[in-house]
Amino acid sequence: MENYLWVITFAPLAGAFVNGILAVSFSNSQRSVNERLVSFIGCVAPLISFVTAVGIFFHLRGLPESERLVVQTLFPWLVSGELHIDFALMVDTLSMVMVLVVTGVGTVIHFYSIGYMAKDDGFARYFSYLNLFMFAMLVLVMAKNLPVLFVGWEGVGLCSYLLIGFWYKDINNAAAGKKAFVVNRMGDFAFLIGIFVLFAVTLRLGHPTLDFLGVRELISEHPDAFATTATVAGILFFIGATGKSAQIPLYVWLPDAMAGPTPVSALIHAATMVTAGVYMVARLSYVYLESPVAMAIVATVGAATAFFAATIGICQKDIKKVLAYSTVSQLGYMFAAVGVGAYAAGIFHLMTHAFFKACLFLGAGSVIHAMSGEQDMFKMGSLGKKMKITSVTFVIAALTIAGVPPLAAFFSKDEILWNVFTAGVGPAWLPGFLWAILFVGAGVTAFYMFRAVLLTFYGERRYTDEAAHHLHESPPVMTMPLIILAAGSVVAGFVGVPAVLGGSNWFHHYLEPAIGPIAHHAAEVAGHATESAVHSAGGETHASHGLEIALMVLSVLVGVIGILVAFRLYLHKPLIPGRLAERAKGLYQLVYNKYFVDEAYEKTLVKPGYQLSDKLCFRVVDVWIIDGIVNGVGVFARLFGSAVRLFQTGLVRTYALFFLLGLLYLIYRLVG
Amino acid sequence: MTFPVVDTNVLLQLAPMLVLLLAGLVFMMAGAFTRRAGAFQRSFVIVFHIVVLVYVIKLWSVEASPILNGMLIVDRFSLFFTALVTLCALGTVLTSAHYLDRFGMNRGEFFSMLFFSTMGMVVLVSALDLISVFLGIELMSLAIYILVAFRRRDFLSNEAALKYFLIGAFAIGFFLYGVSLIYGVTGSTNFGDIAAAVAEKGLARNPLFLLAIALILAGLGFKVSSVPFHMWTPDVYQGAPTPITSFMATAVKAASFAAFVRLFYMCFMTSKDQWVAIIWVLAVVTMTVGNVVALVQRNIKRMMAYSSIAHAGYILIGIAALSVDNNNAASGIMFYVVVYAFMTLGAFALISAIEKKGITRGLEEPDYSGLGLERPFLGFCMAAFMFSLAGIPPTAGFFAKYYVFSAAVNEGLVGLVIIAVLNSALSLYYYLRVVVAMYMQRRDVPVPVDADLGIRIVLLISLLAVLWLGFGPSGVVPGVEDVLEWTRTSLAKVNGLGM
Repeated sequence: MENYLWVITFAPLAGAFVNGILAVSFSNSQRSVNERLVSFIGCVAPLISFVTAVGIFFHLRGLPESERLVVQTLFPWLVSGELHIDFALMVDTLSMVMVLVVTGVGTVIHFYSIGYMAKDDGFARYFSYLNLFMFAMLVLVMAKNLPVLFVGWEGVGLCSYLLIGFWYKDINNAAAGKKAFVVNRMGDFAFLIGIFVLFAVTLRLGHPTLDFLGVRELISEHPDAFATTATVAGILFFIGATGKSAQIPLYVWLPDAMAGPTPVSALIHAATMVTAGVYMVARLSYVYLESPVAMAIVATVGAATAFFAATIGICQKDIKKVLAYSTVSQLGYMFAAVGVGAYAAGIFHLMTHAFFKACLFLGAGSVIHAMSGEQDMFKMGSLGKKMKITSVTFVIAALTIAGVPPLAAFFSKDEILWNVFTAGVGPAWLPGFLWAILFVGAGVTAFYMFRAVLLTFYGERRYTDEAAHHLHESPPVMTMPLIILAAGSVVAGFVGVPAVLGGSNWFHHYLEPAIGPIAHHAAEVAGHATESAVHSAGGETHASHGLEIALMVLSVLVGVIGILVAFRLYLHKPLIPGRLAERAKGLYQLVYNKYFVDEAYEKTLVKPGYQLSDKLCFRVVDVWIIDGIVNGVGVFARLFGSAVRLFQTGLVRTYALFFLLGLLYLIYRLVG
Repeated sequence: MTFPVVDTNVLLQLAPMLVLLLAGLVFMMAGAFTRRAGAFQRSFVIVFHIVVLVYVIKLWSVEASPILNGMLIVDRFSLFFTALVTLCALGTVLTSAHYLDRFGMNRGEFFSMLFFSTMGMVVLVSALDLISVFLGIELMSLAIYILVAFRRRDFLSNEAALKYFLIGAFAIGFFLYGVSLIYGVTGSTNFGDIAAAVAEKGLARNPLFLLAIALILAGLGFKVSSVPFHMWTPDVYQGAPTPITSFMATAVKAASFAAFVRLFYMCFMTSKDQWVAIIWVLAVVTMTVGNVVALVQRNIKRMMAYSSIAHAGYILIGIAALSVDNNNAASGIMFYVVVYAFMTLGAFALISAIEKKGITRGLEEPDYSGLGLERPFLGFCMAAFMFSLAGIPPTAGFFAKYYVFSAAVNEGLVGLVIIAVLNSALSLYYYLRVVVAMYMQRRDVPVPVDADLGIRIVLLISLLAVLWLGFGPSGVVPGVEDVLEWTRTSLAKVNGLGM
């Protein structure tokens, strides 16, 4: 079965290639490309990946728990001195979850795109990019070593850029793409340095490697050698993750990224790519477990982002912006989980989030499609009557994110909260504090989500008659994915029912072999500042079951309160929000303008950076020094050439004379 | 009457030369009885070349030893170069089909001279004696003089031939003087005996011996167009029919360097301390003058002539890096001439396709405007050759330079390599100018290109060679390793014989 790993990655690449050729060959012609052919190729490619991935899944299940790993080396890639890096793919249980999410949700979104992108000029180009994204994302999650992961990491960044600016003729979209790319590059730079740091240590230990298994083995054998490295590398990797996964301080690109087509927002900027950072931290769990400092930073930044982004979500008017900030916030929850060592909980929430957030985005896309591109929720209202399937699935997904039992996010979010509460990271007050932030954040989440639901689908009608004329439920090719994803949001949680509710937390045990130090070293490491991690990984609890249930009830309550407040404010008393905004004008403006973070970045980083580039790098270094040298060499060389040319008289006697002079020189040097 | 006993083994080893001789005679006769060499004759030309190549393959596994009283040796080193010059000749033939017709010189003698010249080269690369070196050079050159003048009614062609002939005679005179001094000092003209005598009598620092080296160096420097013995090159390259320019730049240069390497490796290594500084200077001025003057050329054939001078300079770095301890430099030189042969053959094939009668002769830069956009394949090939000539990875030109330069660095010639790398950067300017003209300039009427089947074949094969030889570092492309391996075995043998 391991011989088929390449199929998973290369089927989308082939699709991207074929559709790319179609896109190029039709780019200048009058005829438009055959959409059936393009969508067939574009959707079959990820479907092949998905089917193959399911096959690998069952193959893995057949193996004993500790040996659940398949590896395929495609070719030796970088060989230089002591560095030997293969282009190799690997699927263990952690990768397996990611591959299934990416290919499963990805395939559904591909089908949805057929309807959403119909009659677009760039139909073939769109599917080509989307397939290319699948390829890069699958390389990322199936990489066997850091350089290959980095290839995927950069590849998804590129595709994200291409798709955000997909409608590049609008300058705003192109600018949003550029912003995403530049912000991501800042994170990637740190990530790259992290790779170098890690390699330097393995080189010093005499086993130069960047292979995940190799590093894991080394760390398990020499934990002391990695003491400071783990902190440095862990922080550097996490800076990379803040870029890719939109955490403080590099989250600013994600809301702007909503400029892309909505299915892209669903696939790349909600379900898959932005979770790459969470996956990466889980993949390198053995590095983070060596550094309590790095873990505390990850958890704190995650929790802070979760709360901060949720509050911004309250005041947004654009339905996609609400979902974007919601994504930033939910990613924060995942980082809080992996930061406290609860890797399984983080990945579990990643999986459930992929379902409900993709469903929300596609639902929003369906609304936008029906409203002919309108995204302002205050120009919608009571759409539920016309769009039954969209509204029902949207509400299900919203209930899920609010944490209403027994929907998926109830289990996953609760597991995160419980693990944060009982974590042993940082100073003694930190876990309780983080829990409180996340707890309040959960209430805010429920509130802004139902604000969006009520503004969009219920209440009074605020759209124009002309819009009403076009209003329609989306075609089945778009509603079927909504139903599938809504169903997923309902049932996905049952793979991780915690013990306290009578479940076995199958998901948790499934991931175990891929997480943390190698099993037979685990005992030694146990006393090594990673107590909390081990206990959460093992599912053992010090706190009582009663406390766990109490917290669970609390978090359900806060969610329900959030929903009820939303109902009160936006359905029963729709005038209150306006009055509230009047009364606390300063606060409202602050939140509405996203705390002015973009403006602050603009003033402190972008402008000075631009000035530096323009005044110093361009006007002085480039024009004067570099161009000066280049032009000077050119002028000098041409003058010299023209001078030498003068000797080229065309007369044989001159040639013979130079021959003789040359010979005399030779004789002088040799004999004389 | 009794015939002398003929050793069939010796005959077999001489077979490539004999086939070329026979072919030369056959086409001399053909030229006397037919007005124009048609497809029929041309196909025979190709067959003869293929026969030579077949013999090369056959001889590859034959144990080599000096033949004809030590005048020649047919070892893998000479077979490697025999195959190379034969391929160059074949490339010239394929390039020339329409060209000869266009300029009214499609005669059997053209091929006859080509065969004689190739035979001279085979003698030259197989030479194990200064006399056979002289014979090889003369046979090669005399035929080339005629080929350069083959456009009889063209002023430039005649001028070029006369200049080449005069300076060539001048140069070979010095060469012969050097040979006579060697004979006077060592009592032999045989490579092996010279080396033995030098070792025996301690002649490494003998002034007469060093004077002889200087004279021979001047003679060989003329053949490989090293500055300051280069001045004929631009005029001759420009005046000669373009396929012949291509033949001179590739085959003549490769054969001369083969003799250069063998002679210096086998006979003069003990005096290396004396001559390495001179080669250093020659290499520096050769590549610098070549590159700098190429910058101001407008005519593409003259530009290629100076480019050829510059590349001779890079190869001279390999000569300076020759060492008895390893074959890095020698194998680097061999790889270099192969790569240079392919990229130059390809470039000249396209130049001949575009050349035409008229005032500018289709040889100026504007004649290439928009070619890359109108004829994507031709443009891509030319761009690849230009990038390769400039030494941009992943083309073969980069690795050719890399092997030679790394051998030089290992020998401690760091300064020389730095100058060479700076020179490579400089050369980008005039190579890329062609690419710029092809892709970034437009003109109203399309470029008239007469790219017949032969030219297309040469372009395709050269392109594949330039990409394949360069695609990856050793280990990824087995061919490169093989070439280097052949060289090593061959040179080990030369080493064993000489030292």
